[in-house]
Amino acid sequence: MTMDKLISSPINNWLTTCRDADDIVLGMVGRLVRNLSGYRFPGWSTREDRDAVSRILLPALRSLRGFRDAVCAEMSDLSFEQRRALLVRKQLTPCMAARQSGCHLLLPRKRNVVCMVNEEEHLVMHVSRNGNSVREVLTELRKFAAELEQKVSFARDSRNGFLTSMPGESGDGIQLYSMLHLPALSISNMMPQVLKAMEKLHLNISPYYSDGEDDTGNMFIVYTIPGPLGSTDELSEHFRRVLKDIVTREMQVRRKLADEPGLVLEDKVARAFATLGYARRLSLRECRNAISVLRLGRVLGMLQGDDGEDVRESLSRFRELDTALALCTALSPAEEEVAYPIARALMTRRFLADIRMNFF
Amino acid sequence: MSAAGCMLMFQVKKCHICGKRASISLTQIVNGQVSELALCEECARKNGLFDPGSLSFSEKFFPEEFKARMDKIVRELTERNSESAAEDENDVLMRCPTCGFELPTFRKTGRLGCPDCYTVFAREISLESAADESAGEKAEINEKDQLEQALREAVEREDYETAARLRDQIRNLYPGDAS
Ligand SMILES: [Zn+2]
Ligand SMILES: [Zn+2]
Repeated sequence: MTMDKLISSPINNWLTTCRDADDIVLGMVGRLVRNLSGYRFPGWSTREDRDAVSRILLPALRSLRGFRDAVCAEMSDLSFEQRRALLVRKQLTPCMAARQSGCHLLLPRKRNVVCMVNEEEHLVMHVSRNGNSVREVLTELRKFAAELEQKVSFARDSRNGFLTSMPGESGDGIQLYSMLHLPALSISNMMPQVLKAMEKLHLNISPYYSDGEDDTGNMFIVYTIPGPLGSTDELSEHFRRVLKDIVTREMQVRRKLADEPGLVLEDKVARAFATLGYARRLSLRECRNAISVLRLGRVLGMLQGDDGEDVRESLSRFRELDTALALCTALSPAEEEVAYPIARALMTRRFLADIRMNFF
Repeated sequence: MSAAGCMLMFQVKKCHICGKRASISLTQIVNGQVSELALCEECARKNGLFDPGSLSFSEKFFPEEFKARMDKIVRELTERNSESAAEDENDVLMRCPTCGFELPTFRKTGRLGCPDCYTVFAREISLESAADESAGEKAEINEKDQLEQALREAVEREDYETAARLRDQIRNLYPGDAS
């Protein structure tokens, strides 16, 4: 399989498939980082360093179960468009997208795993799952780590744990990320409180879209700070509990919004439907916010899909639309001025053709 | 030329930091103001503009971040020129034999050059983490309690692998404690 074939194949991760019908915790990514002794960290390594690191790590990765027929590419061989598509598909990190020769991307075909050699550290591995699946992600990540340790000895010491380019990040070398859709908390202007709470709980939160359009689509990423050696078990349970609390809170506010007199939420959903269904020009921001509100409307039963499509199916289609829109992102002001707003409006009009309004 | 109004060119100039032949020259146009910066490859790397060949990509993907990095370098250059105080001789002499990384670079960037730097700069690294720890000493006591609790639980459920790991972790973190 070639990289181009892979890029044009359907995405089958949390981006396009929905596990939880409440549409709050969309998915989870676990990040594992490891380094090799005797070689410079990728941030300032030489071509020779990078090649030597690749020669050690690539065969080790290939030997993992299910990795033999993985698609592999050196970053210098990937075009700008390929990188952008991989970024949207979450099969590449922004840091890696800017890398060149001696840096390799390895994508096993049937697994939701991304392996990057010479990203910010010598080895970076991402495992992703749908929904709130902290334990599953962690188990899988540790399984890979253990298998790799049979073949490669990673840089570590008893005091710092696994060594990384930033001393503060050494330790277990594991980080957990969750992608959250929080329309009710956002609409009710409660996100500042959530942000403050996350700070107190030693978790990071940032807007999901990092393309300059901050805070759009009511999507956020909550993630752990890399913990010291042996801290991950506790940290991940803490993370799991916090995510559960966020879900509970979002659900409460949703119920409150839905029960509010004066049809305020219904009005928002109907307007979003009209915007996406009839607009001739749409900015990315307008588009994402309207989709978020429609998703909320779908979960609350205000909208229905055709042919009795169930909520999960509808939500998955919404996510596919999100992804298609992300691929259709202007890079220059000129493009944004002319072609993209029209293309977006066309896409959303077509999409809404299959969705029925169901206001009582 | 691109979204953020940043431009990238390649010309022969002298490095603004060390005076050696510059391999990259960055022209940044922000709000009509042109600022120019020439760097040799080594200084560019040391300042976080890693892998100069990838700059065109960084610029396209993250115009904001790119601008922030440029601004940081310009700021640091200004500070450096005004201070120009000689750095501690011992610091300059401390150099990682594997990667050539020097202590001042770690102090400035918070990053290390390679895993072996952990041994070479051990003192500096532990000083840094000690500074963090003294701020959160209470948190550490809690952490120790939690670790010991986790150890008791692991022994109870006969998960000796985890128990051994926790025991080692407690020993590593609190070497003075006999318990
Ligand atoms: Zn220089
Ligand atoms: Zn070093």
